[in-house]
Amino acid sequence: MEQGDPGGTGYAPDASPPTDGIRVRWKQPLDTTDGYGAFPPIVANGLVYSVGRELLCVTAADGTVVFRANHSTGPLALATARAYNTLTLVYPTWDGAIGLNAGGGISGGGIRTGLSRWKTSRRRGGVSIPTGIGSRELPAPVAANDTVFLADPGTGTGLMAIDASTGQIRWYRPDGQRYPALGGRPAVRDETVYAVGLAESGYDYIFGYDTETGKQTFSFSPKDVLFSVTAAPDYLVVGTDGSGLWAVNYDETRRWTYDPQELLLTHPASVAVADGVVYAGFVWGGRNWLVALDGEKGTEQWRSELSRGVIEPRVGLPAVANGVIYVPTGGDQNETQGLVAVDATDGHIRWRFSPGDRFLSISPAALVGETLYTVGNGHLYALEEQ
Amino acid sequence: MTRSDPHGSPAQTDSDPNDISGTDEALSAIALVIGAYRRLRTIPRALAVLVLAGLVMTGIGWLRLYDPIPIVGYVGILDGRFSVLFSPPVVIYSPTNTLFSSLVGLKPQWLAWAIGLELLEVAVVVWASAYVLARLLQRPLTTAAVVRYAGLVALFQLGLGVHIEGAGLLVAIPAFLIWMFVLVRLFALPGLLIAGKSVRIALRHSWRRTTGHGWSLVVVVGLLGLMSHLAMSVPLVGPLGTALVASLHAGAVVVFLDRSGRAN
Repeated sequence: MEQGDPGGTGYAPDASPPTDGIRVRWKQPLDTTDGYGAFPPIVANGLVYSVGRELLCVTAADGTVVFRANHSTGPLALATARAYNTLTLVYPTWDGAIGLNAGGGISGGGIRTGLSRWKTSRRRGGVSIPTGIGSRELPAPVAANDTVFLADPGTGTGLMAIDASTGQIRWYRPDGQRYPALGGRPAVRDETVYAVGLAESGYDYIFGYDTETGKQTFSFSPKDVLFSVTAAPDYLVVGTDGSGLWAVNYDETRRWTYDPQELLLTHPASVAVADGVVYAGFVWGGRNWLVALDGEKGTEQWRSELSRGVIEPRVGLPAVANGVIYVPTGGDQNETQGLVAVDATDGHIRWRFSPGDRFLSISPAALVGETLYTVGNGHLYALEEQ
Repeated sequence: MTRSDPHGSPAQTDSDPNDISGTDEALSAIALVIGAYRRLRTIPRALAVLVLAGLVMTGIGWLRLYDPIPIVGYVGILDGRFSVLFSPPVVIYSPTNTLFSSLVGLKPQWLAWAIGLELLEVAVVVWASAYVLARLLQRPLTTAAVVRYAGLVALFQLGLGVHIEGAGLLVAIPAFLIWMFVLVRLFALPGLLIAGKSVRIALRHSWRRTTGHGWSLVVVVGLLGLMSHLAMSVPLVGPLGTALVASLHAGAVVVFLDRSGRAN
């Protein structure tokens, strides 16, 4: 998915990544120590961007380094910038966001300039102090055309719409009020941005705002603690704490729920939607599962065991293309962790890619053309059909 | 009755027993500021020109808010920042600036727009402050003098900016003292350039004229710099405030040149 999927469905309909076996086309070192590097790469205009303790940009064709930058970043988004020839690469900081020149600026004689484009801040008196390991807890930005939507990293209770060309905050919700307290990764569909938020009633809601004006146009509450929202073409998929997975129509009515007794939804929810099927990660009994649900009715089509013997259950964000679901999974057994390719028809596992490092995450996959890009084991990998 | 200095210094008046000009008392900080105010009152057009330039700068700042190029706004006292905003040439400050890094990768039309606004700001400041200095000095304005003065304005408006913030005291205090020393020594420079001196001679004369008057000029620089910072802290219309401060700055330069020349 070039530049990422604003709806968060993880679906790349135009891609045809490896399905039957893989080989490493190229790899580049990327410092992912101390837990950095769990974020998926982003691909645009023949370039691949990835983050660990540094920002790395390479050519998609052969992995030639375009630039490395000493930016200790969080998850990335790429957005068009109307005043510029190149895209703006955006990542969150603890009090706002930073926009970089996706082309890397200009360099000569070992000096690079023009990489930084803008910096925006919503600091509210005093200094925001990071509490997590590095950038793990920073929210993921989502780009839709020339706007970047981002949960306020400093307060964790607001949603910003940032102009990708200037870095100016076009609108901020809530505006001057305490509720709703919005957070998490937003999802964009049809000029509406959806986000999870705590309302004054004490319940979590999914709120929808017009992407241009910030006017609220949608609200729905499953009356449970909410983890995530994914904006599929015909409905929203919502991850909850105690009542499984919900599908909500865009007319604010419930479509279905999936809440099996023997499975727990991973937190944060790992959901993908493709061709009318919802794929979600669950854990139970020391095992990680990927479950396929019919998008119309919410009935289970199959479930696939991804890994077992887990100390730390982990199912990452799935990516879907060409009838295969690519999902990162973790565990305490090297032979079952890594990036798993699952057949969409019946859930059988086609191949596994285990870079070999049991303590660091492998990132979700980016699927572009015939290549799959992922970060793990201290490298950025480009994988192709064997 | 006035007589001109054959060596090209600004005009001087005959001495009066009650005239303190030329004495140390006349070069005190208070005397310089009061003298500047009185000198401005004799030429009200000078203030009007600077205010007009301030309006243009405000307009340019407003345009930048609505174009698609990133800007950096002035961080003023309302944001908890304390600063002394002063530079040797008489300038009016812009409420918004574009960093060089933000110019890289701009589409040609927007690059031309951004550079055009920067050059327009320099042109407005040069035109207004050169005119005011020349009127206060009662000197004709020559092209050569304007070009030299424009170079000084461009150097400080586009390039040389010293920001001493965030550094530890061991670094910040010495750096601040060195910078204040430089500002004091260059205090007379703009007036000397407008009076027709070459850059080299103007630097030398400014250095010589300011010798022995450092503390007075530190107070003047500090006062004008603080006033500019407070003015710029008012959103959007900061340039109008700094235009008023610029008029005091110009007046103080001229009065200093006048009285220090007499004292020497």
